[in-house]
Amino acid sequence: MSEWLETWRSPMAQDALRVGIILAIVGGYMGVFVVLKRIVFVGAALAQVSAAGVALALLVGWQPLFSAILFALAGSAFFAQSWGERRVAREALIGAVFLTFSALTVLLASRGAHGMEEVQHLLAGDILAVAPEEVTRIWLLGLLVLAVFVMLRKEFLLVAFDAETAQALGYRTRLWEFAFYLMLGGFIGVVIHLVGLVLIFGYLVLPALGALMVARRLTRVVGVAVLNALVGTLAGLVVSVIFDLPTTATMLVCMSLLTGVESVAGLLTGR
Amino acid sequence: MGEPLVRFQDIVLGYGRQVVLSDVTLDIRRGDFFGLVGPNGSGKTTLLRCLLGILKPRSGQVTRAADLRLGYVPQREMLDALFPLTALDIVLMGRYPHVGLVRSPRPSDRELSMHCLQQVGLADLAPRLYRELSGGQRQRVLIARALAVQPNLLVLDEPTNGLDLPTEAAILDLIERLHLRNEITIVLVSHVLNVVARYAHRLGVLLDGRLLVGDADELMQEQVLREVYGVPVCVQRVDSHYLVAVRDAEEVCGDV
Repeated sequence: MSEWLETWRSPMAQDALRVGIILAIVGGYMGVFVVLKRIVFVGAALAQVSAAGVALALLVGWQPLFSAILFALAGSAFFAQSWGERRVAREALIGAVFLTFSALTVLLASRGAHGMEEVQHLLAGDILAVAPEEVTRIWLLGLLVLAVFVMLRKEFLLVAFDAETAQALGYRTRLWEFAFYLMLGGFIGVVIHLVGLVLIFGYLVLPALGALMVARRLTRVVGVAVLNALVGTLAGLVVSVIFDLPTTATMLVCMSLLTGVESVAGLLTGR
Repeated sequence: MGEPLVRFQDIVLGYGRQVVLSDVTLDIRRGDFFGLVGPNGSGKTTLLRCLLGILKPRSGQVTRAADLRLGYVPQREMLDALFPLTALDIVLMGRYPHVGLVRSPRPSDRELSMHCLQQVGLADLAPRLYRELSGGQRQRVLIARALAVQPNLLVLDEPTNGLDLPTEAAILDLIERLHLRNEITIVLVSHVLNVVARYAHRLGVLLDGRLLVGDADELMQEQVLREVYGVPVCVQRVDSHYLVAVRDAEEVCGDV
């Protein structure tokens, strides 16, 4: 007991918790919009594009954060357009981007000093390995993304729900779509090289999914999603420390369990 | 009829290399109840998008009155009922441009939105989720949202699609009431000719990439509609209603 308490109190675990909290708040909030806009796999594809940016940075000696954000923003600009949707489904395009950049990440990482180990890190990440100096940076950038998102939430909502009426009301919907993807891509780009693709994807999908099953009003859905993400983060960290399990996977399983319980509760109560 | 709220002068509309409509000249005047009809694929949506300011004409001129306030009611099917939004949340969206960036809707915006819901007979359902409403109730919510803009021009795209007969009649009566009581100019887009012809003072009929404009009596002629739809039709008038039916080539239109 005292051993795990000691581990829990270690600066490494405390930093992981701090990073987890900001990821949970920003990811939980944005995830509601990602799920409602039906762009879950855009989130995954953007994370993969960003991961390729990190792999390239590590190979050529750039700053990974800079490269990840740059790639994520380029990906955001790409997905904000409506490329060829009259000929192929958007899903096919998302799949193509995901596959291309997955392959690119492996190729770039295979030429780097750490080889496939780096690919593994980009994919699964390790929140316990986040350097102390990164914690403040993630908090500042996370809070910035969150603040902008909260301030522009009603415009994002209108454009997501009814783009045509938004246009008729004078909103430049393409610009708003781009701004949304920019926020999403920026968030992913900031954290991908630290915590990995799978965890970010999890934050964007699982908490929102559970929240939508139990809460009826949008404001409550957002609140429950953030709470889900926070509980999943805390529970995952504690369980992984106690049982010496891989942290990312444990956090995701905790979030999945919470989502599962909420889904059943939502179905049983008919919400 | 008053001054034009929107004036199209010799406009040409299209997407990419494809021209959809050409030589469109039309005035939407204050106090007008204008019906836009045409078969599927005739360019109704294209003209509507231009009216809304979403699609720019390739040539020609669109002039809008300085005091134009446009309320738009899209097709219900275009909206995603997955969003956990109440009727009031949706009506409030009509106030967003007035609220401005960063700010939240004020109590006065909520009051106005509630008043709009009252006008469409849905005040009691303000807290209900949009996805839990019937088709007719959803249509009323969207009309209320358009009213929240405080429009002098209300544009409705296929507002009776997928509704049963009594609900369709109730929605059209509501639109007519708004037109008469609130003095709102109406543009009603529909592929159901009978419906539009009953309520509209003037009709716009899309034919071969062109727009024919005239009074309902002028355009609701068998010859004109035969050209528009490419099939022989019978047109009968019963009270204020037009009845249009497709007939066989040899069939003769009888009395009703």
